[in-house]
Amino acid sequence: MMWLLMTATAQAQSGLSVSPLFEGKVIPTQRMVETRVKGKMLSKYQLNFFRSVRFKANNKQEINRVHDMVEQDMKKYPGYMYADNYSSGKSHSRETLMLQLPKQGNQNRFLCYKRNNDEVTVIYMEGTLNSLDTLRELIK
Amino acid sequence: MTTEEFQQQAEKLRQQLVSIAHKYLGNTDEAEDIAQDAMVKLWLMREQLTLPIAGMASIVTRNLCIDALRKKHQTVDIAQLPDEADFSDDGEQIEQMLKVIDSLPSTQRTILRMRHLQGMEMREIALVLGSTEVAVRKTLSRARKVVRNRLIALLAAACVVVAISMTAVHFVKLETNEECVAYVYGKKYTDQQTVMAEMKRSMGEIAEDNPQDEIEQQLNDLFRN
Repeated sequence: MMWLLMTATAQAQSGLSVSPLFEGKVIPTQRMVETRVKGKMLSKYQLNFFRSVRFKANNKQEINRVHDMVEQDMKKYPGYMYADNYSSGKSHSRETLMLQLPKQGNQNRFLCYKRNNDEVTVIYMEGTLNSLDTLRELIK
Repeated sequence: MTTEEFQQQAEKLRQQLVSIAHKYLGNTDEAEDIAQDAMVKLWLMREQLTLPIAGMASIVTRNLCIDALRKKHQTVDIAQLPDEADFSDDGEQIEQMLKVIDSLPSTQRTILRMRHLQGMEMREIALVLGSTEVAVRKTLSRARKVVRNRLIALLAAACVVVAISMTAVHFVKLETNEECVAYVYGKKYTDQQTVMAEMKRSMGEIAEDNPQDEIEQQLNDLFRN
């Protein structure tokens, strides 16, 4: 019973530094657009779990905080990544970072971050998708 | 009743018992056997019997006939069987209760069966078992209590199993089933169209490439700092 409870409540992206953002602990949920999709609807993207948050930052501190969280995950999981105008030290007004996280079971995991001025999007995904290049092709 | 008195009654009693058994079972060998069993039963309890015994003999025979009818397998034309949904679970409950009764100590089981399955009076049971009505009542009460407690325990166990199963199914569903939800500035949406639109928008944000904008933004970043 306890095992079931723990399994059910455990969030797939738990363990990541960016996790509090998905839980509404960084930006209030009233200011975010959160999307959570799981199952067959994602099959065309070779995914089985998708979770994203999108928000408009009110100030530089919010942007920096999210940037720092993503930065920590990048350092924690220095695997394959795609970075566009992204630098560790400071947040650019337009920047993109896509991380391929260590596999969980047979599931590949990805963390994507994009900032376009004060618009910030963070996505966590799981699935059989084998690379970010494929993902970029699929979602274009 | 003495042995001699019983022997005197036996012949005309036997004919009477056979005709009673015929009423229940038809003109079969089984009816003859039932009458014979009834005679044996009466013989064994002859010392407790007092004349006249015709009434008591009729009851014993009737109850044996009812037992025999219950033991017979009933066959029904398969075409006449009702849909599965039409079956109540009464049969299962009765079966469960009979199992509990079978697990009782022999005296309790016998008395309970005589009283509730064969419909015998306390006085008759006491007579058959060579006991007193008070003792029979006490034993019956204890037997009922045991059956009640065991059935309650079985029911409670069944409830626990059902509750665990339902909880497990609930959490397995949570874990494995589809999920489709979007919170747009605190407002929850679960319709697939809205959620997928939001998902595609977020994906689009990530995939979007606009080199011209990017160059302008980079220049802005450069001159701003």
